Amino acid sequence: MKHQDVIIIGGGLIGACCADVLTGKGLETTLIERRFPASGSSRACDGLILLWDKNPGPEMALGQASVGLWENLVPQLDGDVEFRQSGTVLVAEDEGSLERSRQIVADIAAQGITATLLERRELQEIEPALAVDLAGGAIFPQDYQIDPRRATFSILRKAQRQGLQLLNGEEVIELRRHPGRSGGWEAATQKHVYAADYIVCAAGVWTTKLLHMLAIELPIRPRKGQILVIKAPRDLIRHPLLEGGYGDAVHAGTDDLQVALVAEMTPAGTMLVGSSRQFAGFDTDVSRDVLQALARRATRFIPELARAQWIRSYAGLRPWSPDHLPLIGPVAGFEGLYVATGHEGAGICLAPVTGELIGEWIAEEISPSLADAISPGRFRDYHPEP
Amino acid sequence: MRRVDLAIVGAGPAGVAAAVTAARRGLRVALIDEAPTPGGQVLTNPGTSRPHDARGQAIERGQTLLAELGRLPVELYRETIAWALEGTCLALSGPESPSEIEAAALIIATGGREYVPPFPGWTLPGVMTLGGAQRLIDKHGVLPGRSILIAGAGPLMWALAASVLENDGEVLAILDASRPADWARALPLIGTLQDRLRLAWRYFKVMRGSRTPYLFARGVLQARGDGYLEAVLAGERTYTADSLCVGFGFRPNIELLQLAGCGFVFERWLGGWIPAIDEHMRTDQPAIYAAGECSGVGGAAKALLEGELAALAAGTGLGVRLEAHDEDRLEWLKRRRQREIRFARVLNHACRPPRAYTDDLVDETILCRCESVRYGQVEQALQHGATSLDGLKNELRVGQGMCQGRTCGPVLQQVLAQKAGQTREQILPFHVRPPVKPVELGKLQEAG
Repeated sequence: MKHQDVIIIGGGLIGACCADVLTGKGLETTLIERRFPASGSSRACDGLILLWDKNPGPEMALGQASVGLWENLVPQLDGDVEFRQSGTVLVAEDEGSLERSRQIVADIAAQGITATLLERRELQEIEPALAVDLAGGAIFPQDYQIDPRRATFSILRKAQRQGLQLLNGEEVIELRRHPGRSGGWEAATQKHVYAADYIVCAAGVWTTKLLHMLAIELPIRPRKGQILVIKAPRDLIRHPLLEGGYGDAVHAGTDDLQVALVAEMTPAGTMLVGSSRQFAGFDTDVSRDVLQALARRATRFIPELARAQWIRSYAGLRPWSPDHLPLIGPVAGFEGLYVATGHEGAGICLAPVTGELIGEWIAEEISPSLADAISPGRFRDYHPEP
Repeated sequence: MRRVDLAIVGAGPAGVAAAVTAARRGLRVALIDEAPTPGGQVLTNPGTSRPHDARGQAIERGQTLLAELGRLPVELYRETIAWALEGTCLALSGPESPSEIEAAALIIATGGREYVPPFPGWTLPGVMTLGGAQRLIDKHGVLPGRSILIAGAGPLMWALAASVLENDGEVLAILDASRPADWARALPLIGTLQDRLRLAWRYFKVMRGSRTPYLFARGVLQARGDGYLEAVLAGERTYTADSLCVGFGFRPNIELLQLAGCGFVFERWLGGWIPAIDEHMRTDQPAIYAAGECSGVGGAAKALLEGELAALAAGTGLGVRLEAHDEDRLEWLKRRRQREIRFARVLNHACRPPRAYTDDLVDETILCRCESVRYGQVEQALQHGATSLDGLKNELRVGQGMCQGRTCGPVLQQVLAQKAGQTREQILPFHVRPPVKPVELGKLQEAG
């Protein structure tokens, strides 16, 4: 195969968005996926695109930019990716949690995002299936939902129409500098060797394994999440629901298992119930204790679910980064090598902006304004606690 | 947590034989089944069999065992689903079951399910499986329709025809998709399995007596009707029918074995992917055994032998000392089982759906009925490069509904094999995670 401009490694939603932007800018791009599109974390997550859980600063800036990009991108896609502005409801279990919600509403409103505090009675009116003893909550009408797998496939098809070469079922087993060309790269799979000027590693939690080949260490750790799939009446809940402690669970710096309710209905008529966060290596088996903890949270908030049919479960790995910001950009000392990972649980939300940033670096050769905050090199002196 | 020596999942012929064998030898046995009564489809709905033929003999033996089961101190958990397992510890959901059972050994005897390749109109009300129709007659005394067309392959078709006719129903025709030449392969074996011949002869007499048209037809069926079956097109002929009963043999229920982490082998003529087991029904997972249809499709007679065999082997593993006659019995069971397997291969080969069912699929035909996925979508996904069941699931949501891929899994496996240029052995079944069957969420909460 002839020398490409860019090779993207990883066919998840992040890789797909990078491919869309790069091919859209006219670059000859190949995407190498070891199994099939969305076969890693993009299929083992929920489909919420949230802004209220983003910290002010770079995280919120990325989030807001990305939501705008999603709004532009979806109408250009074929097929229904189930993108809809359903809003989200934060549910406060008790007065303490309601106080926390009040704080979140105030902080988020200061960022220019619509947010309304809900008293107990208002919450009941909006979501009648919720337990009667809840203290209240908040509603964020601007949040979106999407089907991440459909979105991945659809965006890849768009990129293919723009000239992307998509290779499924090939795993990169060696990454090396091109022997002939200065600045060029070679990626070898079991089948072929591919060459390009740029490499973009968008392999989520598996990016660390790729970069080990070049003796590059990234502080990304797989933060496992497990999800229950429940057959529920279509109108049981009217918005995706998150419990008051959700944001704290996300930002908790501890290694302990974190469980906080997230529930969303899909147009297919199933309810996805999460969320759990734990560090368990690369293992993607579900475990009974965590599934039970999720079931208890779910029935605590939505009692009727106790009689609903639980039909499936799955687990996925979020690429956790120490400061809760993704790692997007060039790897210092390795000209032409880029990474796009570390989004933890916000990869679905932040995929389009990630593609855009990679596009600015590689196609436009400009350094985006947020470059330092998300630079992979910012952890050079990072040493994880033993 | 409840502790027993041996837990058996599935109370069909294999499970019942295993439970009786183990309980007789003093083991503490728990027998778990989804139905309100033990016996499985075959023993619960014995139908109109005669004791001297093959079905009759298996049923008679099974019912003797069922009677003995009632007298033995076996813990029977009815209407109970074993929805997950870790090692030999089962998670259960049922009205009277504990939420968990820890067993020293486990026999998985989860049976099989009927296989129907999709054809235009197969999801219309009025179209049902042969076994479903048989159950209507045997259990509820209801004929599946006024004008019944029976199609597919294999002895279930004949048994159903005989039942309909003996209950004064009308069979428009029997459309046999097997080739007479396939049955010729059974001739060398049938000498040793004369009871099968007697059974076939009985069915034949009933069908001949009623002058029911019996046609060999290898074309794809088409069911038509506005909201309900009205007509069936088969080749040149059109039948005005309100019931189409169709089936092409069975596929094993392997989901619990997959969850147990068992190794599998591909045996096309024993139902596809089946657990790798030794001659004592041992899987490659410690203290886990498989018996009956889930270990390889072969009917009730084979299942009875295997249940007993597995229980004897599991008992030995738990320190039960075998008497001299047990040893002889073990050898006899192993020999008889080999004979049944030889016969099963011939039978399953003859019952395979004609290639036309996959070659001539049309875009509108539904392949996954839970998620309403049509063949046209699957074909597009194949063109995009999908090469595996899990890949198709990712793109199209096939296998994600209430049946969890039990119906569409074997169908898509066939389609992938034929259309994506792969061998059947290259196409793995859907990945399985708990729950293997839907469970009330409240039950998950209580477990453990």
